[in-house]
Amino acid sequence: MLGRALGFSDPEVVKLLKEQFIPVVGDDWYQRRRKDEVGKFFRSVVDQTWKAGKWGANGGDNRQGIYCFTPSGRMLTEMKNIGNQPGELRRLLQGGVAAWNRLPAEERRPGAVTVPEVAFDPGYHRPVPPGALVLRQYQRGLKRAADGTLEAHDFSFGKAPVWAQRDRAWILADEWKALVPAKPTAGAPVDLPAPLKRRLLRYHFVEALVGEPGVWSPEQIRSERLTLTVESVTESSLRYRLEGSVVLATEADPATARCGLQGNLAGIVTYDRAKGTFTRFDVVLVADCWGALNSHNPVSREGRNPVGWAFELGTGADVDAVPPQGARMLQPYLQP
Amino acid sequence: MNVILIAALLVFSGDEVKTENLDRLKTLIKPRAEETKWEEIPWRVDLWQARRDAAKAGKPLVLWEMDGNPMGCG
Repeated sequence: MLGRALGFSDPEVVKLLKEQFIPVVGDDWYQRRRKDEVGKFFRSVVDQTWKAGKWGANGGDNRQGIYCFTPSGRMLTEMKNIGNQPGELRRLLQGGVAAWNRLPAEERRPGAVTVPEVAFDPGYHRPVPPGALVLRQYQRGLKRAADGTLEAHDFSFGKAPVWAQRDRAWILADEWKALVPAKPTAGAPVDLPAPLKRRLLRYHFVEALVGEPGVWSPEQIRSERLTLTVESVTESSLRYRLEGSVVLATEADPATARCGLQGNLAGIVTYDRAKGTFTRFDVVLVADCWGALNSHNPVSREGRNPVGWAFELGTGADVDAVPPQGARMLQPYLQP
Repeated sequence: MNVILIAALLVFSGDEVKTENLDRLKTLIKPRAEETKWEEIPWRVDLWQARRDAAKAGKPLVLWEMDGNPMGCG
């Protein structure tokens, strides 16, 4: 994540949003395309700004920005992409509060607006698939110290500090169930379901420190070894070890490929046999990365640089309902 | 000299990615405290549910809209 969240880290902004507003995040790619009441409401809000119209068949122009509006959809104030400017953001929110307070009391009272139940457009609504595990994914630029150890690389892109990037990964119900042997034995290997392996390789092992990730094509998986082994078995639990290495590259020779990723991964996974659930799914990948896979995104750092990925189980919090970036194209993501 | 250098590279820049280093690497990679202050805000992730909550509470909404979810790759 770029430092767009910088403004939202400002103590006064945090206080204003906690006390005066109902804050919500949205992925514009979905919202401007939705053909349901949610999309209609969103468009009605945006159409009160300078971004009005130009919706087109496929959502039209992007509508990134920060919008303050009433539950009925009346625009209070809005600005484009000032998430990294605390002062501007404070002024925007204070202006929003002032505009709200100028409205008639009847319009502001709790319950003044009735929001009906609606059906969501399945084409642009991405609930977690039934029974799927949600992994939280983090990604950070790293560097090697003089003694070779890995450390965080704090760098800026433009004027914005580059923070740890976030995403989520789905492991479908039939996939995680396939990881649990009927008769587990310590030391026995467990095959990772092919779709799960391809999903991780193609959609998640993608450097995206300063933009939206691309997707590796199947032939760009130059080599991969992901070995899951049952490490120990007790009456109540299973513990697995994950090890592996991966080479992904736009051209066959990684030494000269325009864009690539070459690294190693390790993980520890635990399963509660009584509850039938995974209780730990920690995986780390560290890879040298170069180039930019998504052609309309910039290169984050020149040359080949280490990048770290960390995956862990979600907790079921709201944030775990945000779909993986790769799930915009749902079927290819589910069956890569 | 070269032998020592190569050996050092193998020791230090070789495979640090091992299960015994997992916790250290996770801590290194995950967001630091100063990168999570914005998460203290009770962000909703569903515009329609947020609208319902706002109507019930009698509060205005703030929508942070990015191409890529701000709670994800945005």
